[in-house]
Amino acid sequence: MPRPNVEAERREQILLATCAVISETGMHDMRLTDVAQRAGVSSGMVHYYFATKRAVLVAAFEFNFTRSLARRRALLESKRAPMARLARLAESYLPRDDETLTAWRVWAELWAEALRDQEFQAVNERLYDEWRQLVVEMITRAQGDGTARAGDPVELANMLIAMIDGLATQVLAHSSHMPAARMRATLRAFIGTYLAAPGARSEAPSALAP
Amino acid sequence: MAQSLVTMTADTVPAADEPSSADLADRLRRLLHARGTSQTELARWIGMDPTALSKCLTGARRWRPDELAAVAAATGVPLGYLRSGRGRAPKLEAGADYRPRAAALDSERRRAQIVAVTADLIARRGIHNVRVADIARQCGTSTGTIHYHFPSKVETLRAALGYYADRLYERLDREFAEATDSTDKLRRLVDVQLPSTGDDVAEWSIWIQSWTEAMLHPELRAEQGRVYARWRDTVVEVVRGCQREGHGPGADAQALASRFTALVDGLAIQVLSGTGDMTAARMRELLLDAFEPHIHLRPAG
Repeated sequence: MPRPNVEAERREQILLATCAVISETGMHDMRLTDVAQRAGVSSGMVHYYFATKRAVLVAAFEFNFTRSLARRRALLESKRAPMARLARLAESYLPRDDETLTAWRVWAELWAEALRDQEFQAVNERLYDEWRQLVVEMITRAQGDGTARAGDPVELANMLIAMIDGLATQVLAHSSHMPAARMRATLRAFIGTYLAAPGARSEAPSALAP
Repeated sequence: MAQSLVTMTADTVPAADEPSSADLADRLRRLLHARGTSQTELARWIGMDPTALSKCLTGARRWRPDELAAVAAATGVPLGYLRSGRGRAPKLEAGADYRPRAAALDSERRRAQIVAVTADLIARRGIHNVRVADIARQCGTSTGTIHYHFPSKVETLRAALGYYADRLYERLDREFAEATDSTDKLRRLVDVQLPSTGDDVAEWSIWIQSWTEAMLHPELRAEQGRVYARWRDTVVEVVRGCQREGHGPGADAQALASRFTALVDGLAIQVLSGTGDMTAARMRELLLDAFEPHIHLRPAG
């Protein structure tokens, strides 16, 4: 057996801790000593891997995204019909468990920072692009087998992503009118009555049945 | 929805000697008429939400004692008279050139100026990059004065949220006044919140910051929820109007409002954070589909 890569593991440990701290205090109030403490390493160790707070933040935003896809690998690689996979993928972003919740809060911090910081804007654009391409590919396949509506798959992907982001934001900000159940129903209705091909429409797509 | 000049207390505390709302409203209307003052103007003087003031005048909402005290101070009428109709009555000849007491007005103007400057700074720099000293310098006042108005950072964001919400609803009121029917109103709802100009982008910057800050700070959630609920209710109301006019009668108005508001927010995030060349124009195109297949916003043909 190969020796475990201690460096990679420790780096991951630090980034996991960074995401946890960002989601609790926000990136501005995050201190590297909090990260070190959370990761169970010394501050010197954090500095060994990341020279600045900015460097650890950029790495954490990327880590947050990669990890969220890794958690969905089974779903992404499943042999289900493309439309069913798309519907399940959308629903997997309901902020139900702690891991998803943390991932969303970190993602939202990145948006807010991308409003005015060029470097974070570039990170956000890179991650969004990768995410969009993945959704575009699924929509294109669903159009190929006749289950998704016709239209520019990029714009349809932008709409679906916007729906997921907009709904999750309201759930996360604890808006009383947007409990997670309503987010789910709204996503289902959007996919079932808008994204689906006219012949395959329903308010609650069977693909989403538990 | 300006942050009230008067202190925030629990809503609608009934006083033991609560004045009859009809008589009180009548006294106030005569007073405003005599002063040549509009309700909106009075609301601005005392830093009260114009909608709340209007509801008080129709009896749909109870006055808070502190609000009534602020009205008395701004209009120069004894509080006792305002409440009961007894005591020293004000001179009510119409046309008398009345100016609210200098102190009240100055303080209100000063507060409005501070709110405007603060809102603009937060929108453009981000709440975390605005210091009290920056606000004080731009207002030409002391940091003490700023601290007096905004004891905490959360208070500044709350005020900014109110400032930009007012700005949005002023536009919306103008648009709705010109709308020909409910579908036209829905189209104007699409247009009125597009991040097109620099000021619109500033407004959106505040919305986005208020969501992320509400995720982190529970004390912001009530205000954030209030502003959002007003926007959402507006959408539901217009959708119901469309349904009354025969468009998408079977659809669930709440569900359509959830879809529309989520799409608007998610697309605006794409425009503002500069992803995938999303622009206000493309956002508009996509939003015209937001109520499909129930309500059609694109011109027929």
